[in-house]
Amino acid sequence: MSDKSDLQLVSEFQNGNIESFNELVRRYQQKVYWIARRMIGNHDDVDDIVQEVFVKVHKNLNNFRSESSFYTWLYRIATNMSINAIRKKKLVEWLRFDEVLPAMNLATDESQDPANNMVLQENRAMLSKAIAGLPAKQKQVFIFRYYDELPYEEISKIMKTSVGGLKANYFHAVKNIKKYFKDNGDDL
Amino acid sequence: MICNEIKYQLPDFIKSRLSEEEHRQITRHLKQCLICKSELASIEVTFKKVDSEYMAEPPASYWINLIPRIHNRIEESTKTKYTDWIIRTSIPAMATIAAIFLVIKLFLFDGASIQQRVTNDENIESLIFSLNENEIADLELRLSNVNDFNSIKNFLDSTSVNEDNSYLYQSLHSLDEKEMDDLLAILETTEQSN
Repeated sequence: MSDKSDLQLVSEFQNGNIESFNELVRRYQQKVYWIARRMIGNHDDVDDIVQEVFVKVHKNLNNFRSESSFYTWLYRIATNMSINAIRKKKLVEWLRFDEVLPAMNLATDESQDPANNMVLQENRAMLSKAIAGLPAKQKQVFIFRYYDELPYEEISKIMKTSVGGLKANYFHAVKNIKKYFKDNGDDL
Repeated sequence: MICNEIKYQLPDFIKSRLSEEEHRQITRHLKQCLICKSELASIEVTFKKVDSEYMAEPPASYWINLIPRIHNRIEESTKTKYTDWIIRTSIPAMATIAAIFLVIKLFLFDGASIQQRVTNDENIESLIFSLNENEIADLELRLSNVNDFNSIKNFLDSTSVNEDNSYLYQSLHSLDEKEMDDLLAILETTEQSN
């Protein structure tokens, strides 16, 4: 992997080096994937979003000015596109990991015990639904803070929201997830 | 610190993502506040539940194939963009050209043909044949009270020219005495035949 900074790669791309764009994709593809995956849940839809995010980056990278960091810009695109995808397809209603996963044929390290598998899948489906059902801002903050461990200052730049507001959103996101579990019969 | 400020920091307190000073302040507060302590316990349980969540990783081949697939999509979107551009621009362009052509045909060509008809009508028959039904009817009406060349000329001089009668006016003015007599004769014949 290249040790060049993001902005160096952006600058090289702007001077016609397509390999710099590929390097940026390699550097951030997993981050973008997991942001979308945690927001949307379904791998097939996420795959589509990930590609669209980088197509959009490619299209607009020539106009990118180094006023913000590259990843702040990238994460904003990824979260906005994920939220739009959710709105469009109403994925929340039919998010069902237990149906989707076998078809995806993804690598898992789950126990081969069917009963245990079922419990794991139920938990996973419930948490995914709990996250997917959060208001957009709470969902974004939760993913950025809980999973990506981004500092509030960075999240603030991505979401254009004050740090104080983000802390409140994060707290309420956690409370809402707990409430979702409780409402759906899970004793927390 | 008041409870509201504390509770918003509890998720980060649990994950040890606060500064030393903030951590110390919250620890101190929790020792004396049962409400915040209960809130802390509730968030801890929720986090344990969230931590136990597992999402299946995509296979390694997914990451390897992603860049070529992104480039394919970029190419597709570029093609689509050009196709859309052609459709978006060609249809209005063609419509505009058609509209311009129509306007030119309606106004300029007809205007030119009127001029041509006025200047080139060397005999009264061709003038009459070049008039349409409305124009003939209009001409008959205008000439109903006149029956010789001089009175026609007087009539024309006293008639104000406007868009509707300019062609007739010019046509009649271009006639000499003999032509005017012929015209009156033809109109009389037309009137009788009608």
